[in-house]
Amino acid sequence: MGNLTDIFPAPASNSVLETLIGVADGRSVTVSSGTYTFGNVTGRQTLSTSYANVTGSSITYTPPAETNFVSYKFSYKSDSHDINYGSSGIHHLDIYLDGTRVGVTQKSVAGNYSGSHSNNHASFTQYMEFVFDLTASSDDIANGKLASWTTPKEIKVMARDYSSPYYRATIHTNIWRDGTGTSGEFQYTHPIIKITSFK
Amino acid sequence: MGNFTNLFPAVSSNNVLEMICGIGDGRTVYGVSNNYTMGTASAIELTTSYQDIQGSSIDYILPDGANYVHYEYVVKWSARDYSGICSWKLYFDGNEVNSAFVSNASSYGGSNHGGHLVYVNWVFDLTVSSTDYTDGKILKSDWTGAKNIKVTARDYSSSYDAAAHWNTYRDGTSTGYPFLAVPLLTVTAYS
Repeated sequence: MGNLTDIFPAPASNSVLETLIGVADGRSVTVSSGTYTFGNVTGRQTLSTSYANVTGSSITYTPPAETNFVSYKFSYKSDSHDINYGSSGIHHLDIYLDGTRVGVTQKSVAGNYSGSHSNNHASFTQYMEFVFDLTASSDDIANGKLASWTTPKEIKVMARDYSSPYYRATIHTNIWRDGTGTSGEFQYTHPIIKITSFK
Repeated sequence: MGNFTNLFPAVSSNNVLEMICGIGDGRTVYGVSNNYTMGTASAIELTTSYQDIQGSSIDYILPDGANYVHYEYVVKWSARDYSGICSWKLYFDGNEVNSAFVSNASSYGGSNHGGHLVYVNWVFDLTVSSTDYTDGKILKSDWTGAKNIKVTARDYSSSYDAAAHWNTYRDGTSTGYPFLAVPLLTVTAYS
């Protein structure tokens, strides 16, 4: 006689409790922990030398029960902006949790400086990604560690330019399409947020 | 007598119904109910006409209960002239998903060294009341059977050539280039 588990195998299981994913086009998505509404990006965002919320990056999230780790992944399009200095589009980004900077997430992004000219071409997709650790004995938000997370908390990205008036960046930006400049809805991209809660 | 698990199905452990993931080497990937064969990629130069990008095409059949489908195609891009400006379009069943359009380039330079990953990425929303291909919103009743999803791309102009699945340099030399960089396709269906 064979093993009972050969006849009635256990269902597949894994450590993923829930995945929340959506495009920042204003949609609402329902998962086991609730219904979440994504931001609605309707145009490019020009940065400045002061930190500002990155449009489409904000989501107020409550993990499901038994969550030990929460992964936040945000895609956006980086684009150089200045018409001078080869415009490397240097900018800085941080993830924030409920208004507190998660310093360990800091990232500086740029295209390559290519000389003093008007060809500000660098344009590519980037990710801001982090895994919050909910197994800590006390909160240490700067390092993304929490003792618990049972109420809604806002996760977002803030960004600024390195300097002004040179090296500036825009985000969510498409400049070219079909051999010419973009127009209408093709001028900008929609970022995507993916949150995964793990046991 | 039926299977025990048909009578008492296991509860779903999360909202991921199926994940199809493979590289562009012609492999066959097994989904929950269907098998999918990936395209086979080779290093190619883009032109000023749109062409299908190898490894991006899949004729996908929805699993039961799907409300969202995340399509993600990751392709290595290289500049061949200057900044290698190029355009990437996503198609669903022959219709462009305008909202997923992305342009790509490196910094301008005469040595055309630029090379990085391009992401063509969209989450199809199947909870809508009517289909809007341009925004990637698909009524479930309009997604019956296999629907083709693919990526096309072109150069901005012949002065800014770009390439796909392409590495120019390896181990301190470009001798023998292009070196193949296979693309990665992931399709995930969520309840």
